[in-house]
This record gives sequence, C-alpha cells and structure tokens, in this order.
Amino acid sequence: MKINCEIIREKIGVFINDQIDPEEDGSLAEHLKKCHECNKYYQELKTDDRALSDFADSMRPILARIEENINKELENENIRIVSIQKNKILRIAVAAMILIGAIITLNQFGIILDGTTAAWAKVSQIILETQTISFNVAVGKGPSVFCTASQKKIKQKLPLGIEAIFDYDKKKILVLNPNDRTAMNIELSGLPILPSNLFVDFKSAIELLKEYPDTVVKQLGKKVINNKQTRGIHVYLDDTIDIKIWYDTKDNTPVLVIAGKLIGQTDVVFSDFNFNVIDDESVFNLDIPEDYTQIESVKMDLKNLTEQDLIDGLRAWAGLMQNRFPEKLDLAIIQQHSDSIEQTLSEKGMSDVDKSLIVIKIMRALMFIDQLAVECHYFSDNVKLGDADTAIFWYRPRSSKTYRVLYGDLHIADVSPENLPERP
Amino acid sequence: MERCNNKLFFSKGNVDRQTYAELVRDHSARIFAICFSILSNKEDAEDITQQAFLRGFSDIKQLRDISKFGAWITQIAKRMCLDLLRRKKLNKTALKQITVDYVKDEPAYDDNKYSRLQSALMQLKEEYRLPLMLYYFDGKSTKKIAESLEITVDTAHAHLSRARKKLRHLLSTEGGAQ
Repeated sequence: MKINCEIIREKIGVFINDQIDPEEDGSLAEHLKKCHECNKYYQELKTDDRALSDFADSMRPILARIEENINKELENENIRIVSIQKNKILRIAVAAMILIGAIITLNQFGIILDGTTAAWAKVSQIILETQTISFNVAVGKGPSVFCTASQKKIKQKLPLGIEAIFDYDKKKILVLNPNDRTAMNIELSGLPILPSNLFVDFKSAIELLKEYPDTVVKQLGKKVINNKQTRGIHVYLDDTIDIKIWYDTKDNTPVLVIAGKLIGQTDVVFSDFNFNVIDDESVFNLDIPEDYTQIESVKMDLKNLTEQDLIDGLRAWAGLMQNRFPEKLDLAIIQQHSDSIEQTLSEKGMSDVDKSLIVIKIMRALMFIDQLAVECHYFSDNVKLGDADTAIFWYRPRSSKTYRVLYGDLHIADVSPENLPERP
Repeated sequence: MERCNNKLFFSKGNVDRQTYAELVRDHSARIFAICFSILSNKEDAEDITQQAFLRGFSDIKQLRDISKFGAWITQIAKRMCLDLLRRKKLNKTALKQITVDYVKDEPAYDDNKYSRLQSALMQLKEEYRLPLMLYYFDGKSTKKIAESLEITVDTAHAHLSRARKKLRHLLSTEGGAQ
C-alpha cells in the first residue's frame, strides 16, 4: 500500500465518523475514483457503517422500553429499589448486629484482576482452589477481626472473644459469648436479597477478573511482611477499583491485601491468610454448645419499615448519645460511632439481647430513611431530644401535598409546603 | 428557624422525578451502549440500564454536583454490570454458556439479520466495541464519545477507526456484514 493510500484511508475513517460524503473533498474523491483498493476499502466501511446503524436502530425499541419502564417505576407509589446496593445495606445491617465495634462491609468486592502477570496467575489460582480460608480483616481504623470462611458459612472472632457464626443458607447467626457462656440466636427475615459471603465474593470476583480485559496490573516491588519476603502487585480499573496484593515469593500465597475505593468506605485490609484451614464444617455448627446457656433469640425483620421505626431509632440513639441526634442519617453512622455505642451500652450494664435490640432499632430507622426515595431533609446540629419547636427531619410522602415534619421531641406533624421550616 | 449552624446533610429533593426523567432520556442510550459492551447481551444490558437509573434515583443524594451525573451514573452502571458478570460466574455452567454461546453460535440472538455482525462485535475486545457502540447508539458523534470516555476528539476518531478496521477484519474472515 502506498503511503498516500494510508493517509487516504485514515481520512476515510474520519469522513465516515463525521458522516461526510467523500465527494465533498476533491482530492479524496479523485483518489477513490483512481484507486480500486481504497475505493473497495471505503465501500466496505460504508457497508459496515450502514449495518451498524441498522443494528443500533433495531435496538431503539429497547431504549424506548427502558425509558418507559424507568418512568413507570419513578411514578410507582411504593418504589423500593432492590438492587445490588441493598447488598451493602444488608451487610452493614447484619454486621452491625454482630460486630458493633468491627463492621465488615465488603460490598461489591469488584476487584478486577488480570491474568497477564504470571505471578498473579499463580496467586489467584491458590485463592480459587481453596475451599476454606481464614484471615484477619480490618475496615478503616476499626479493629481487626479474625474470620474463618467456607462457601456458605463464616465465623468471626470479635473483640472480647465473642464469636459469631453466620450461616448464609439458613439466614441465621449464632453469637457465642465465652465470658459468661451465653449464646444468642439471631434470625434474619425480610431480606430484600440474600446477603452474600465475602469469601465467595472474593473468589468469584477473582475468577471473573482474571479474564476481564480492561485491567491494569503493576508491580509494586518487594517488602518484608511478618518475616516473609513478599512482592506486591497493584491492580486497578479506571478510577473505580484499586487493590494491592502482597504475596509470598516462596509459594505465591497472598500475605496482605488492601482493597481501596470500594463504594462509600475506606480501605479494607486483609492479612494473615491461611488456606484450606479446616477439614469439616463443624466449626460453623449453629447448635449451641452444651456448656452454654441460651439467652433469648432475636428476630431481625428488615421489612415493613415505617415512620415509627425512624422515631424509635432516633430515640434510641439520643438515649445513648447525651440526648443528641446523629449528625447524618446514614447507615455508616453506626460504624463511625461503634466505639461509643458499644461503650455506652456496656456502661449501662445491658444484656447482649438488649444491646442488639437497641442497635436493631437504630438500624431500622436508618433503613427506613434509606428506602425512602423521596425528597427529605435532615438537620440535627444543636438539637436536643425534647426540643418540641425545632424540626429535625421532613419529607414528602409520594402523592402527598403536605410534608411530614418530625420535631426534636419526636412528634410528627403534617405541614404544608409554605409553612415548612426554613433551610439554614 | 433560630439556629444558624445547621448543615444540609442530604437532600433527595435536589432532583424531582421530572428532572430525573430528563436525565434518563439524555443518558439512557449511552448507558445502554456501555452495558451492552460489557455484558455482550442485550437482555442483560436492558435490565442493568434500567436498574442503574433506578438506583441512581434512589442514591441521587450522594451526588453533590448534578453536572457530574453522566460520569456518576456510568460508574453505577459499570459496577452493576461487573457485579452481574460476577454473579453469573458463580455458576460455572452458566459461565460456559455465556462465553461460548455469545461468541460462537450466536443462538441467543433472535434476529438473524444481525447475527453475523453481532457475532463479530462480540469478538471485538471491549476497548474497540465500546466506542463503536457509543457512536451508533448515542447520536453518531465523536464529540460525545470523547466526552464519555474522557479523551480528545482526535483520540475518539482514532479509536473508532481502529475499531472499524478490527470489525472489518472479523467480518471479512466470516464473509461480510450482510
């Protein structure tokens, strides 16, 4: 191909991209008349262009349907968006129940990894082949939690030696407190979707991502961690996912994993991995050990949330926090204040069941807000429980002309838009 | 109100339904193109596009600057696509079906008219498929591709042309687009 033809073909591409007829460019049109090869090239691209246009046009009804469906949903009185995002809420909810001080929210473990690095291929293979795993995990500055996991179950060792076993199939949690030999069952119901197991998430993400093409893998160099010689790889995709893995240079097993930029949370740090640690699943047994006394079971129903849940939750919060309200109505708030919640609950000498009930109350309030999907406002600075004249929260229920306004003494009133509290 | 130090912590009222419907109209073709590129399957792409916009509506409070809606909703959709792929991967049998069916036999597509074209599109690497899909689904504009992928218009041209070449190659080895 002549150099001229190469330039012409580049030009042809631009002309097609800009939907311009080559006739508009004298020299190009002339070349196409003379050069059979370039003309053929142009005709082929033109044919492809038409085919692609037709193909896209054939999808128009789908696009119209998408818009129509979305609009219908937006109009829907009971819009409840059950999506992957809810997964996060659940995990926060569930974890808050059992961990209080150490929440694990490995939502959307969307790690993207590429199989191009030979070392990575080996490291990922080890993870994929493991049936059980144990590791320490810490979220942000939270304490480290020791976990043992299999495909359907996970056991977490919490501060004070408390253990929580979560059976994903049975949707049950068993909490064992060795300090006073008590056991508590938690049953979850009304889950919009099943909570997922972070170990399985981790494995399936890696499995997928080994093949995902858009990934960047970089070497991070050497580092000694826990007396082990390790090498690091940094894997990221766009600006959404960012993960660093240090693996043992001797046997390629991961030693330290730092997952960053997971939605709405800080770094999650995994360390002290052990693979295929257990032979049978008896460690996940939900039966209460013989020398333990069962205290009552707690049922955690996550559906049918109402204004009353918000009121009860805010009251519970204020009861723990010197009559103040949370600075935000966001599930992460429990995590941020987990230390003081735990401390206050302990100071009050509450039983584990009562503690759990209070945390459930707060969570239900936050989950009520989370599923509201309507206009709502919250101001809590300097408001104290009992402040009957100050509005702290208001929202407009669907199809309602008036707003529901909640005041500092937690009474609620219907208020017309013109009488709404001013925004500061 | 008497107090003056309060902050507006969040407001879902920033965007009413009508405004949101307009945002959907402006961005749905592009989001569909992105989902289709990642998922290689129009049913899934339709489903995820829909879910992503609904999730966007419920999470709009997290978006501080409405002018960033395009980039924000793209991220939501991409994550949901990846999550779907991940969940599909959980079932290895299902996985085999995804990778084998879509690429080779093409029986999953109803319309024979485009089967060869689709088959070729699905064989393209995503980096080539995405600009093509964005171009044809979203107004045939290199400027829009440039905005969407945060590249220059010249680079958008280059990506598109390269994608066209790759596609042509695939089609010619299989006997043409028609």
